[in-house]
Amino acid sequence: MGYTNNRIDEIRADATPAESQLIDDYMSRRLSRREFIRRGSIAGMSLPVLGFIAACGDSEGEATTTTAGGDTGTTAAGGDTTTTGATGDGPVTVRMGINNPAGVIDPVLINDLGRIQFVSLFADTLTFSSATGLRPALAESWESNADGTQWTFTLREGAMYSDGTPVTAADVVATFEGIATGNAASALGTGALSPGGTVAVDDRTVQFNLDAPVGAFPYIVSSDNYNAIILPTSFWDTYAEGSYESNFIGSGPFMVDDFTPGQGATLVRNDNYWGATPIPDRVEVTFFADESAMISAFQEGRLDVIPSFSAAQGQALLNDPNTQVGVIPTAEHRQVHMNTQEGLFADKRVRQALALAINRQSMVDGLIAGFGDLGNDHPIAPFFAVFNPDAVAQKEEDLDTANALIDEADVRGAEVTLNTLEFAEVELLAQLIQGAGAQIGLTINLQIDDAGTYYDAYWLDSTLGITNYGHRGVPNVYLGAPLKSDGTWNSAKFNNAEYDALVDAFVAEPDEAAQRELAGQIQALLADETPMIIPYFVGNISATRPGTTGLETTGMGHVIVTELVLGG
Amino acid sequence: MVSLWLLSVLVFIGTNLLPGDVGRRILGPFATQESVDLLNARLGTDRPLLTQYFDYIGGLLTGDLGQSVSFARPVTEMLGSALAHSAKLAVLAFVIVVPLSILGGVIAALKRGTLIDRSITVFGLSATVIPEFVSGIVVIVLFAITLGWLPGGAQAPAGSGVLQQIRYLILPAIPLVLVLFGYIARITRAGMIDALDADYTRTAILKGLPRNVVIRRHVLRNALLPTIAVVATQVGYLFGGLVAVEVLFNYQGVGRLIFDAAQKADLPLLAGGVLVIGVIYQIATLIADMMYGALNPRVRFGAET
Repeated sequence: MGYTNNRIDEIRADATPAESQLIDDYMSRRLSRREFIRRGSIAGMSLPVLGFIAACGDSEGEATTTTAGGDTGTTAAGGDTTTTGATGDGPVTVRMGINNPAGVIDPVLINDLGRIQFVSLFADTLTFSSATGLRPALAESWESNADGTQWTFTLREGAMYSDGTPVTAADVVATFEGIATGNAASALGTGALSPGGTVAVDDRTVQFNLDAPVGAFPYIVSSDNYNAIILPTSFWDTYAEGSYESNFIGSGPFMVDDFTPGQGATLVRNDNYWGATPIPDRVEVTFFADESAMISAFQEGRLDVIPSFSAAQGQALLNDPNTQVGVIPTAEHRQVHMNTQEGLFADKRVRQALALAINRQSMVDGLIAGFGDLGNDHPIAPFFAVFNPDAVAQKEEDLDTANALIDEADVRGAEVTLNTLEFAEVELLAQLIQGAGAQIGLTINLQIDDAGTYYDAYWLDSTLGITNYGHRGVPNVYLGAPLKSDGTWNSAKFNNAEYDALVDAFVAEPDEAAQRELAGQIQALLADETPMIIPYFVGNISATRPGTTGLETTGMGHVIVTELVLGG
Repeated sequence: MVSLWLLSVLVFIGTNLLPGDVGRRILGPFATQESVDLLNARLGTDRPLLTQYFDYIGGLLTGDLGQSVSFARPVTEMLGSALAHSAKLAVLAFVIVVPLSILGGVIAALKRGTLIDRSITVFGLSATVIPEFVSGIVVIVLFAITLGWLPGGAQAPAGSGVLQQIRYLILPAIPLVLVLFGYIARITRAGMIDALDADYTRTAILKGLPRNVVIRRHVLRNALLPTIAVVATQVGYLFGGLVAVEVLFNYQGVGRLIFDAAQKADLPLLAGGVLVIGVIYQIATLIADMMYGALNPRVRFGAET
C-alpha cells in the first residue's frame, strides 16, 4: 500500500485541479468507479492512470483491465470480468451474424447498422465512445484551449495500418477533409468543424480549429461519428465511391481477407494492431437481410455471436437456456413528435395529455422485453453522464389528468393521423399510442410506410409521427437539429427561444457539472412543453453461448471481439 | 425483342416515379442537402430523365448494364453471381417437382375417381395455397432447429462441393416444391384424362396393344403438352419470384437483389434484374415451344389437325 500511495501522490502532483478533485472524490467514495472512469476519460486522463487509480480505490478488490475491453454486463454469467489469454489450442474462429450492409462499404456513405458493425472490426477512430465512457483509440491524449474552440489530439506512438504503414496526422487531416461533404457533414457541423479547420501540427499531433466552442468535441471525433474512421492519405487521394472495397485498409484489430457483398466476409487477425493482440484468429461474418434468419442460424449453431438483435424478433433466444443474453444501456430511442405550430397538438395541454395517457413501463416490458430505460419526453437518456436525475419527476400513466386536460382544451373526439416507418417495434408502439389516444377521446389513425417513404414525405411534414433516433455518446445531436428553432430535423416544429439559449450554452460548456445543471433545465423544459413523447430508451442486446466472455458492443452497433473467448 | 424494350421503359418509368431521389436514399434522411446534391451530381442521377434513359439504352446495346448506384459495382457482376445462385435453387426445385408432379398427375388420372386420385388432388391444392414464407418457417423450425437434420440457410460455405451445396438447398427447395406440385399435377391429370378419353387411345387399345405401351407411346406425349407449357411459365417465377424464400434462407438470389434494388431506387440494378428475368422467361418459352414441336408433329409441320 505504501508504494501505491506514493504513486497516487505523484499522479496528483502532475494533475490539473479538476483532475485532482476527481481523484479526491473517488478515493473518498463520493464517486463511483464507473463515474470516475467516465469523467476522467472526458477530462483527458490517460487510461493506464485511470485504471491504476480505479484499482487502488476499489474496496472489493475487483480486477479491472483497462486495455481494449469493457463487458456487456451479461445476465447469465454476471460480474465484471474480462479474460485475457487464449484458452485451448488451435486457431480460434468466431462466427458472427450482423445486419446486411445497406450499400457499398464506403467511409463517406456509411449510415446503417450493418456497415457500422462491419467496419468497426477493422477500422478505428481517434477516440472510442463505449458503453462506459470515452476512451482513447488512435489518439492517446487530447486537450482543448481555454474556451473549447481549439482541440489538440496526440496520436498513439507506433500505430500502424494493417499493411504496416504508420498512422500519421496527415492521414487524420485527409480523413476529416474527405468526409466533410458526406454523411459526416451533419455530425461535424454539430462540432462546428468546417473544411480547412483540421491541421497537422507534426507527424503525431492534429489540431482542430472550431467555429464555435464545443465542450464534448472528443465525442464528435469518436466512434459515434461512424464516418470518421482514420484512413491513409493515399486512400483519400484516389477516393471514388466504392474504392474502399478494393483493399479495406484499416488500423483495427482484424483485417478483411475475403468479402462477398450481400453474403459475408472473412477477417483475420491484424498483426500490426496497436492494441492488445486479439484472441480470435479469424472472424467469419455472415450478412443477414432478415433478422429471423440470423436468429435461427444462431439457434442451429451456425453462429457463435450475434452482437445486436431486437427483442421483438428474438423472443426465442430470450427464453433459451442455451443462449446468453447481454445488455447495455443506450441512448437509442423512438421520438413521437407532435406538431407544435398547427393542428391538434398546437395546444400544449393536448400534448401533455397524450404523454400522460401512455404506460411507459408496460411499453418497456412489452415492446423491448424489459431491456431499456424509461423515457421522460426529453432525449437526455439516463445513459448519459450529464443526465440530471433530480430535474424532473418520472411521468407515469395518469388518465384522470390526461382526460381533464383534453376537456380543458376542448378537443375530445378529434381525429388525427400518425405517420411512421416500419422499423423494429415502432409499429407496435404506434398501436399503443393509438390505444392511449382512444383512452382520452382522440381517434388516431395509423399510416405506416417503409423508411424511404416516411423520411421523404412525412417525417418533417406530419401532425403526429414516430421517428427512430440511433445511439450517440452525448446528447448534442438530439438537442440540436431535431428541436432547435432553426433545426433541420425539427419534425415537431418546436420554436422556443429559451430552449435554444439553453442548448447553445450546454453545447459550449466544458465543465461537466455545469453541463449537468443545464441538462436539468433542458429536461424540465422539454418535459413540460412536451413537443415529443419519448417513452423509453432501447437497450442493446447481444446473444452468445453460455460462458462466452469479452464481447463488447456499443449502442450504435460497434463490435469489439479482441478479448472474446467462446464458451459452451 | 419488342417486349424486352417495353419492359425496360416500364422499369425506368416505374423507378423514377418512386418518391425521393437516389442520393437521399443512399445517404439517408439525416445527411445534409449539400451532401445529397453532391452525390447526385457524382452519380449522374440529377440529369434529365430522357438523358439518363438514352445513356442506359446505349449501354445495354453494348452489353453494359451499368453500375449499381448503391453498391458501386457493375450490374453484370452482381447479377451474374445472383443468377448463379438462383439457377442452383431453381434447378434443384425443378428436378424434384417436375417428375414428382407429373407422376402424381399421371397416377391421379389413371386412378381417376378413387381415393388415391382425391388424395393427390386435395394434397396438391392445399400445398399450393400455403405461402412460401409459412412453409419455409415451418421447415426451418422443424428440420433445422428442432431436429437439426439440415441447415436452415441456403448458402453453403465457400469452397463446398456439389453434394454439400445440394444439402444446403434442400430445405429452401421444399416450399417451392409444395407451391408448384399441386398446379403441375392438376394440369398433368387433366391432360392425361383428355388423352385417355381420346379416340386414338381407344383405337390403340382395340388394336390389342398392352396398356403400358399405349400409355407410353400414345397417351403421355399428348397428355404432357399442356404440362410443358405450364412448367415453362413457372421458370420465370423460379428465378425471379423467390424473394420470400431467399430472404428467409438468407440466399443472395435474383429475387432478393431486385427487391433490394427497388427499395433503394437503384435503377441500373433494378432494370438489369428485371430484364434478365424477362430474357429467362423468353428462353424458357422458346424451349417449351421446341419441346411442344418435338412431341406434337402436327405443330411441327404446321399441318391442319
